[in-house]
Amino acid sequence: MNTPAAGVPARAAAPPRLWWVYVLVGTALAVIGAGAGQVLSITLDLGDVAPSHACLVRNGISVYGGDPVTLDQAAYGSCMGDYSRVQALAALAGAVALPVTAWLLMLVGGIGTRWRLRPGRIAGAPAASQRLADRFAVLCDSQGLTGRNRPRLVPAPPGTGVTQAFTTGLPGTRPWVVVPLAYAYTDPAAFDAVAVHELGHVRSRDVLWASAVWWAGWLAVPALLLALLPLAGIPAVVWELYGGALVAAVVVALVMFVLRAGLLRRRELAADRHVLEVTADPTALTALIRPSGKRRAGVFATHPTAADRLALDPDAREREGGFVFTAAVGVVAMAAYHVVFTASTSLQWTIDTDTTTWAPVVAALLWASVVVPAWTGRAMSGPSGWTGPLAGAVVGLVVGYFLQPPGVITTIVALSGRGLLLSVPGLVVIAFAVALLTSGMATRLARHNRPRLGGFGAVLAVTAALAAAWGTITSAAVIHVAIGGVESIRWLLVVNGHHGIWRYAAALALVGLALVVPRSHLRGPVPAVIGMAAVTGGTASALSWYFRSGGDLSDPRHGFLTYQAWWVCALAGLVTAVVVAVVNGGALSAAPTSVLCGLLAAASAGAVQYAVLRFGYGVRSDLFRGTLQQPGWLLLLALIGTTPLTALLAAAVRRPQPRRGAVRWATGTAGLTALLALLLVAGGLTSVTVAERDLSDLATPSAAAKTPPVAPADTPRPLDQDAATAALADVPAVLPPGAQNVPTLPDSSSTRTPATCDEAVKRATVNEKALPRTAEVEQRFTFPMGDIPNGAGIRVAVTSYSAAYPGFADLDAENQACANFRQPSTEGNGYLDCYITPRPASDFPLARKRTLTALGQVKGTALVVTIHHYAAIFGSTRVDVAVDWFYLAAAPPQAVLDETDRLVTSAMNVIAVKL
Amino acid sequence: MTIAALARHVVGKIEPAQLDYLDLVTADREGRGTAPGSRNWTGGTVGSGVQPWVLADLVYPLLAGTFAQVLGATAFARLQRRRWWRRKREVPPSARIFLTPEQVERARTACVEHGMTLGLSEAEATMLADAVHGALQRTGDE
Repeated sequence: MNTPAAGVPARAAAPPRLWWVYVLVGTALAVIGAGAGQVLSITLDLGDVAPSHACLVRNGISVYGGDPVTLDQAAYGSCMGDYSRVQALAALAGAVALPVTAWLLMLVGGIGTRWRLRPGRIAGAPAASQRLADRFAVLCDSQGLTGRNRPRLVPAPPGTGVTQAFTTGLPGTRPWVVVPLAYAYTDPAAFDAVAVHELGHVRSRDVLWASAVWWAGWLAVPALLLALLPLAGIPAVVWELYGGALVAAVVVALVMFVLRAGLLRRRELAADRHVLEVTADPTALTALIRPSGKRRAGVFATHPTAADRLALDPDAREREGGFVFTAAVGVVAMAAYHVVFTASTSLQWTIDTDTTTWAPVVAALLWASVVVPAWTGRAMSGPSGWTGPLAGAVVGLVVGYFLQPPGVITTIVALSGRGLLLSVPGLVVIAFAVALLTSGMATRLARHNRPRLGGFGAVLAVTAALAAAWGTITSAAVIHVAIGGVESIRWLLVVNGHHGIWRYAAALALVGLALVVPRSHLRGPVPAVIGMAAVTGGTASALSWYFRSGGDLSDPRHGFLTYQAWWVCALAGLVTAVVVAVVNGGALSAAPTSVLCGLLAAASAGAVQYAVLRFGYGVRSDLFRGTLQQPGWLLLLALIGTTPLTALLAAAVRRPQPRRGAVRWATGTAGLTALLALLLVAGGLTSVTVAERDLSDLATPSAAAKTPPVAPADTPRPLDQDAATAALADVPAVLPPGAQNVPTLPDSSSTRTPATCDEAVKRATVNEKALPRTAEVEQRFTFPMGDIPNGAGIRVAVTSYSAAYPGFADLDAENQACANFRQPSTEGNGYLDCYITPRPASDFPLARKRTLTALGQVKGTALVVTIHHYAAIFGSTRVDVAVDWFYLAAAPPQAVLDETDRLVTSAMNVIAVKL
Repeated sequence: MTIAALARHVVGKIEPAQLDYLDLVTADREGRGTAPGSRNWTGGTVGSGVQPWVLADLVYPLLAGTFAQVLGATAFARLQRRRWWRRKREVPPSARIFLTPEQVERARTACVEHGMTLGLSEAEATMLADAVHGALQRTGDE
């Protein structure tokens, strides 16, 4: 038997830990779980969707989503609040359950491995194994692995099936290093090499993340399939509704396995490098690895080829933070964005607060928390190119935004034509700008005195900038799709600095940058540049406002002048940032300094403006809003928007040494600021800043009236039967082609529950029948409409009374008493759940509109009967129009709802003009 | 002569320190040990990616390959035993082999070829082949 190598190896640094993998895999599991949870809530109908959809139909809202701006949010919330809450809670439960499941499987896997290697199976090993244990203890001691940190060595005899050394872990316990007993009979250097290799994995804690990613990959598809189990009997429907999600889940699983294998290959090289460092022998790996003819590792291979391992350069370092890494982080961050966006918008009616900022904040925080440390490590490992990481950031964030995580139903408004045109360039520019700033901060942090504090500042600044810009551009896409026009986008970009937490975006970015940039970088020409920009910009800003604000200003004019004044401050900051970048030789590491100086200049200009107006002219305003909030916000927009140009300029003026000449640069800054201020006030920058019409256009109410108003008929006298019949003559003309006159339906006499409703309905009927009348005509037509089964029917009735009709007191009482009632049915479970929702009716002085839905079941499928009722009184004549139709399971699209509303209104109008 | 005895002879001649380990390998192959299982299904292991090579692990695959070539497919199949839970047929160490003098001579060449196929150098393979050949010749003489 061979004796293990004598001597105590040198202590080597532990391979870097991949803590970020835990963040990414935990997030990925939560996203997959949320998608499965959302699917499960739908397939099990946890929220009872039929009443919610019927409620939407009563309010004229399509379940497929109406116009996000003109949508009656209150009505939508009242209909969908409960259902959305259940769906959001199911998604959140899934987001917790799947990571927990993966954790349990990791435990089971670890326990399974230990069961296979339980003492009974490894007992009886020859005495040689004790020598391995002794040598292993020496190796552990040499690397500081003592006490609970020391892994347990398990020499595995042939009967255990262990053919390769490996490390296994169970969360919360000491890891095991398992080596085949054969190593007791090999060259001692081979055991040293393999043991130190495994200790490298132990010290970098590779086992747990590898296990976590493994289970994340294996759970992606089963989680979704489990959620789809209730639909197992109708595979065609599953494929139609969730085919894309299933394909996405398979792709996600494959990508996880490929990324895991790629990452493990890198970790194997790191562990091999650990061997070379500990043994201080560049040939140590030859005792462990035999050459093979394999040239290239497959995508699922967890180990590099023998040739790659034997050719390992001990001095080279594995660099994280490249294209693949950054792209993966971006995709995961955007997946988290979609989940949080879906959950938060679903909960907005429950928690009654603004939730629109949650998703961008969570995604940006995740992205910054992972990328900033990784890129800092990359910068510390030596000079490196940033093209790959920057490209990865843009591709990951933008592509990730347009990918829907499996099962997660999220509305990407930007996917519509106009939104796509706006959002893709906007998102690309934002991602590039933020990535450039991040790389600059990482380069700066690599030489930082207090890296933890600086790192916190960098994460804060990047999160603030990315979240605010991303949230704003996505909101702008929504507005653009809904309203259209450049004005709406420009105005939203400008005013979004007031919205929610975005008002603190510039302040947070300023604080974060201040923690990153050392004071020594604010010397030389920089203070003079900031000071001149602040004085020039602030003075120009105050004067631009003061000299044009005389007289009685309209609100749009006042807003326009205020924002233009803030834009002047922001332009002073922009000029400062560019000048500081040039002064610093266009270096990437100076990017944070440039942005910080720009923010300081903009805020200082805002302060000068505030001081001039406050103390010079007695104008009161909000100091924070006028300094950091608005000028800072506008500067962030300007900096992001001009990043491509600024980057080109920085590349053109690059030089290794900073430039000097404080007076020259400060004078130039003042001149350029004044020039831009004049250009802005003269209207030369209106298209990219703010225009007066932006606010005035939005302040004007929409002229899009759905139905032209009809002059109220003046018919105090009662009609005779012929006149009443003639009033209905034009009704067929407004009906869709194919309309047929059919016999009227008999009145139903069922009993309603609660009794108050039944009494109200019967009282109204009795009262109406008791009124003496001069004419009574009723007609019914049926006609095809969209995909509605059996089409729709319309009932029109004109009843003229001997005296003036007493009004709608009975109808209003009926609406109130019968807001929710139940009546018997011969179908399904024996009853119909009915709801009445009054709708606005403003075309005539005395009119009522309401929609009734009756929800029942036919062979287990939801049946919803809908009646749109429109009643109006013209003197002593009452006109009733009612359109009725039904649907099974799926509510109709918005076009059908609009068509029914149009029919009811048109029919009423043509009758009214005949009276 | 059984394959186990032959293996013990070879290992005892070249690496006598591995005899106690060979007993474990032999017991495992004979079926008294535990069937090998996969450790990868849990994903909770990070392996070295390399296998240790010791003679005691190598000798049975080497002898199996050698006898398969020398005896021919039909005769070799009689030596194999198939367990229902394994895909591969295996030759139990307790199997007895009978070779003609002519087959003994061919076994040496075959042993060198298979040793090199298994990753041994030509010198290592030749040394093993000589040990195998010597043991087989001695058995024939007895």
